[in-house]
Amino acid sequence: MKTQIYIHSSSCISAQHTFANPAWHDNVLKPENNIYKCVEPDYTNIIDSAFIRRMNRLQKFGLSTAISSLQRVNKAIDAVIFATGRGCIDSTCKFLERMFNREGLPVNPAVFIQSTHNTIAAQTAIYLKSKAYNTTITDNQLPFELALDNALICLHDNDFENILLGACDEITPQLLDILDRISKFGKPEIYGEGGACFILSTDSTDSIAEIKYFNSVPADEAAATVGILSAEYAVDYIFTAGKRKYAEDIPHIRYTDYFGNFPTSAACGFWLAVDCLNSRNPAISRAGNILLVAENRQGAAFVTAVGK
Amino acid sequence: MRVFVADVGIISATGAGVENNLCRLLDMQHGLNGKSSYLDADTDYYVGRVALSNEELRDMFGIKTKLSRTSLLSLHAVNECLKNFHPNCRMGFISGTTTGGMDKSESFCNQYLTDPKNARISDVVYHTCGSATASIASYLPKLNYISTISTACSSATNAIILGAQKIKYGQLDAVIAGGSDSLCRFTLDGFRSLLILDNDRCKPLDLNRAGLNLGEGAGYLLLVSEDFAVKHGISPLCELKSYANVNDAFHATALSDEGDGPYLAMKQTLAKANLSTEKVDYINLHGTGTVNNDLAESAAILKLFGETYPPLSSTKAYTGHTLGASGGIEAVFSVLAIKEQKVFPNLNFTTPMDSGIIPVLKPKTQKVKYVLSNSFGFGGNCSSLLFADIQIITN
Repeated sequence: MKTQIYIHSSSCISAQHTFANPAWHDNVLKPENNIYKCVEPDYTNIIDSAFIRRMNRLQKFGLSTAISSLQRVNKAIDAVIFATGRGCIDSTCKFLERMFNREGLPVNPAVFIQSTHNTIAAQTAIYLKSKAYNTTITDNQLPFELALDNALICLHDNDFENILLGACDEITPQLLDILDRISKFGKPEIYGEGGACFILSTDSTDSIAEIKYFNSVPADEAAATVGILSAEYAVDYIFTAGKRKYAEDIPHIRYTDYFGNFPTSAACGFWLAVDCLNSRNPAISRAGNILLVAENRQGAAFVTAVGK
Repeated sequence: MRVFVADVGIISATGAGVENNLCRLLDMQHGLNGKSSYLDADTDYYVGRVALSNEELRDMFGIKTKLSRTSLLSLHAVNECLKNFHPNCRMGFISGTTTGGMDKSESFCNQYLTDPKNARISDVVYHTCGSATASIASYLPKLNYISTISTACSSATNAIILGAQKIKYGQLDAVIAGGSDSLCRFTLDGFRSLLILDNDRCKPLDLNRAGLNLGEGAGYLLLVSEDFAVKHGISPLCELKSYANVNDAFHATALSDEGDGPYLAMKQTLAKANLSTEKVDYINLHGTGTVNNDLAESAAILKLFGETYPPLSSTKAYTGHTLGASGGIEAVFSVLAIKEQKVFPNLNFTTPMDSGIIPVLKPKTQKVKYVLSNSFGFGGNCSSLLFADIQIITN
């Protein structure tokens, strides 16, 4: 459906130098051993040190991108919505290890507290002292798209004007080992991790991009939807995670080439789209409208149009 | 667009199905007969364990694959929700969970830590919370929307809120919304490490309460739009009149003593429905039995309602705290309060907190038009739902 929701700011931590760095594309990094690990900023420059001590790595991804995306905007936030595919895998594994190795005494609760999916959005709320609507969406394949859907549903409501939408996932040595074994049953991929955060608003003033269309369609109708949208808007690129192209005559960018594959990679893809609309990326010439298409293995697709 | 509750489904330690749960509530029979030793833990806390085994649940639905217990419990309750529902429509399934496939991940992990090569990879493929929802979709009618919410102990409530939002704005006709969680050692040891498990059966709202008992189960509402209910001659059980989701923004695992989050959640819920506090006939509390939760919730109730607060109770001493499922299970109890025009008693309460709220102690038949249901979670996630009795709508 057509939407008129505006993006006021965006921030990304990824395997590229994307954090607070408009010139990230001057030095595009390649994966090492099929893995795209994040280039992490110095968190002490971003987050209050008293908080850093109590945070796991994924919380740092989430909160840093949240703080960074709020720097550009001076708006009261009416909702904090985060997406994650696998949640805090590192804390979860640590707690499991200690649970099975311990003798007698209960383990330290810190890693248990940090293992829950909502700990990222919760830490963000505590840090921002935000008592607003707060939720965490999870899904194996399209958590970011479902969280974006949740955000857009909220923005239908007069109670909501500005929403902080974030997404992140991490990889750990154990997770890589397990994914490698699972992938023996499917195609091997470049694994990645990272996160991004956006401020969405119903207000157009000073926005950096607009979400012009967002809808969920059956995957076999995605190409037809792309056809209709490309007739309506001058579409410069189609962004996807996978290889499938949805239109022969429109250049196709696979954002996983930059960030690797992970459940919330689409958040980094969405960030890349917003970046392309606003910067001079030599690899991708400045664009007017970009379509993002994501589909899951159950035959559902999300189609998003972003433009200036 | 108004949002109606067309049906409900539940499985908990107090029973499989609506009738069993209702009987136990009215008979004041708790379900906390299980002991946690079966989880291979070295301690023996009371737990609210669902009587049906994984094998029994799989056989009921002809399932060959070894789905997580969270999924099996979910399927049982969802199936009950849909037993009288046939129309083709734009349907969603939004489920809250915190453990996902952790029961199976634990058996994988135990092996993996000592002998990684021989750990069964099939035990970990259902690990994620999203899998708990997605893996049962193929056993359900055609779904246009599947999403999973994980906001700790308010997961199911926030799933119900999202379901209501999808219907309210015309994007779906019907949504199965609620949550499911199974007992596992991960949460048992986690809550134990936080020192908030009661060695005895929990005593919500009591001065001498000493913590919670963990439970497992699933509870779902079948939400439908008003248009859809009218068109298909569905007589709803009640209306989901209002809801609010807020954050206490205070601490990772504790609510503020003043109960700011709980207060705001209830206050906003009533304000959006334009309903004054004296209209509320019953509150199903979050009431976990921890020192912190019950103190904060009591303070919030007194601040919002004053000394003339409505009849209220926690049902956690029947089911145990079912974490991500609790909001779904208690939403079902709230709907049943309206359907039966009864309020359910709080168990194990003998001594009031110092200037604290006092719950209903015997089952009571009374007018129940408006019911509030509270769910608060770690991370400050506080949500409330408001259900309302309505005139039967027919075509």
